[in-house]
Amino acid sequence: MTRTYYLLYDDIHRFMADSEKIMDDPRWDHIESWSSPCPQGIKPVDGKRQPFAKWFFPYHLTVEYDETDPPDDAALLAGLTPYDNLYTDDTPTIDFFERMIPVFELWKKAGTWEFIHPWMECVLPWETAATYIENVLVDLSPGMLIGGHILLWPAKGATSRSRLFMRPEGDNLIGFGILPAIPPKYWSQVRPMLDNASRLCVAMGAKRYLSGYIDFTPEEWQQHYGDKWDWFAECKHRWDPDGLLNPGFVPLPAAPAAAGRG
Amino acid sequence: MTTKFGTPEWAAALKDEINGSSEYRNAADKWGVDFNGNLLFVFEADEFNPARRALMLKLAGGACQDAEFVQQDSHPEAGFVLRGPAHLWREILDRKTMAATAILTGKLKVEGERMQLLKHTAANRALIHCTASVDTGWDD
Repeated sequence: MTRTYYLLYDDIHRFMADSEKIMDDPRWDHIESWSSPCPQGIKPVDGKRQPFAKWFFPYHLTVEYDETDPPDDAALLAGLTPYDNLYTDDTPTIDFFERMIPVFELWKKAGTWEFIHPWMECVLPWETAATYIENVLVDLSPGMLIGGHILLWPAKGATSRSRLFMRPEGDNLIGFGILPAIPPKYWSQVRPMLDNASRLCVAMGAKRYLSGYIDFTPEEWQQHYGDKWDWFAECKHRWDPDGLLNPGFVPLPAAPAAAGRG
Repeated sequence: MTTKFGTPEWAAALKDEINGSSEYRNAADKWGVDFNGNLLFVFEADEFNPARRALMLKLAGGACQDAEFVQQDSHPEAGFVLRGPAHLWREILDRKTMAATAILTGKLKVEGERMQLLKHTAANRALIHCTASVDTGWDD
């Protein structure tokens, strides 16, 4: 069985302070969080009135347990300071793994599945994460998230051992993503905002998470991989000389004439 | 009423625009609090705009204390200098280019603590909106 505590935070700083405790506490088996808007009205942004929100941060903390030995709720949650503790959910482990399926079904039924999904995701250094997130969320219209999502995931910096998963230095990091579903006719309006959100995160020391909408210049690709760029290019030339994997995505320099085919 | 860019009247109109903007007041309530939020915009001469101009804005807590065109392209009271060719500024004020894009791509040069500027993107976006809202008469 799994038990999930549905905590809610109203402040990114308190969310992050508790995240440090949670990530370092081996009793938790799974953590999941995101940003959730509570619409407050409309306000001018660049002179045009648009909906704005107070942002909350749901935080779902999960432990797996044997039915004969349920967890001690008070002991697990001691020291945490959420705005609210909304719900405690007991679920068979297999249902926990499949918990997102109803969400995806809902997106399909609502029609937003057919929209374009230019997801802008990044991994932020702990030190600048709150500032960046507050900067982005303050003017993000909650309506843009119909059929979408704002990712927020604290993580330990040493979790991944992948050499080419570029992330900032640091013991603790924050993943953040704007995952909208955009009707194609609005893409030209939304694109500059996403481009600037991408540039701003990089300026604040983040690395883009390369699964979503990426519009890097060749210089930005090189900056992304930093001192691993040459090694990465060499590996691609050696092991994927015809660019069969992700063709055209990364603008690698031409292979040296002398390079062999592995 | 159209006001000629580069004149004391234009600077006064901008000050009024900023101080009359609830968008700016809310977005910039922390700008210039505990740090020098005065901005110097330098409009560098280029092939289309032969005269260099510089606009000094004294800003703190969501309000503008003073706005004036100055002779020099640096100012001892400026916390930040934003410097770019006049045609780029014109594109920004005509809303053809976003100021944030110009800053983040390096087309608009920032002197001062760049991170402090980036921390207040909403304040600076609202300021640019106020600046672009002045009914401006250009030289050309």
